[in-house]
Amino acid sequence: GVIPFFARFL
Amino acid sequence: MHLSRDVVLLITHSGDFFTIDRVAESLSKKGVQPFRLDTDKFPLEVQLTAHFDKSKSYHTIECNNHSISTEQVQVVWMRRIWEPKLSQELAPKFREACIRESQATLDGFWDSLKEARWVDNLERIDYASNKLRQLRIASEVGFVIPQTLVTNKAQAAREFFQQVKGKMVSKLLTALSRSMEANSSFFLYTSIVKEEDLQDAESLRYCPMVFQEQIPKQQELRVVYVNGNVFVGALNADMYVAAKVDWRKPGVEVGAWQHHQLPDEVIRRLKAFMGKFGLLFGALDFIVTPSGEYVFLEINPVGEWGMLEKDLHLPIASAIADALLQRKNE
Repeated sequence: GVIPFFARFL
Repeated sequence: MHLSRDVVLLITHSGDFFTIDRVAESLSKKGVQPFRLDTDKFPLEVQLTAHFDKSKSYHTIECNNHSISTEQVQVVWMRRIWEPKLSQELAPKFREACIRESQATLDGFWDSLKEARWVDNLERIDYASNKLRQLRIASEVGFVIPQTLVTNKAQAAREFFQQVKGKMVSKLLTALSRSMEANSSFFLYTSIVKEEDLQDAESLRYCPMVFQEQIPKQQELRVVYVNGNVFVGALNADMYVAAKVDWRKPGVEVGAWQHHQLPDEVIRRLKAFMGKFGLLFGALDFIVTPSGEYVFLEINPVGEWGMLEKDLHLPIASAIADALLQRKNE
């Protein structure tokens, strides 16, 4: 599904 | 075995160590009886009972073969509350309901302790946990704060990036779930945002984010406030160049904690800040810039301090015990 913006910093 | 004397209830979790032991030890030395309640062990290993009738209510806590009635609890240290830990044998479809009902029971149980002295009061902790409120009040008491943008609007994020000349970090207002997947935990630390990251900024529409100017740092401070006493640990920023952004990240070589004396003006503002929240305890993060300016980042009303007690021998546990035992209105 769609990845929210914050997920790139996990 | 039912404990017969008055107790200080320590609300924590089974993974807590060192800090909880130091406070319990300090309380014992001062002649009072600590009673540890690991919230994640309820309901499997901790038993709570609450009786209500028309004339009175009566509550008990049982764990590790010891029991107390809540009437014995004169003081509460609100260290941490963790989610109930349920075993794998429980049918998965009932898991969420069991956790929800257990949490509701605990929430109701705290009400039976409303006459006790709390460090700190749960409502005040919740009130102070709002990071945007923290920034507003920090600014009101005169602290310097980073330029901050909270948005779900891609264009606003891109414009802010230009405004802070490409020196931007991001974080969330809330913690992610402790475990987004069994046996692994994901965290979101304060992270540097690069221009290429913003190509995907449209995905902010699904969830807003906090953006701040990246403050140049000479030192990073963990300031622990306990009932008017201030304890400070400092990290030299050049010691953890690899991180630069968030010293709390595991594996970051932070170097040694050092003693640090806050200027009187910063202490005065700190006391005003804590007074506005009505908190007796708080762990605050500051940056000291190369020009010597103190910049407020955030407060965690139940934040960590064990590393300062252990490495710098700061008597924080004893100060917490004193705060717990101080009489009301003293």
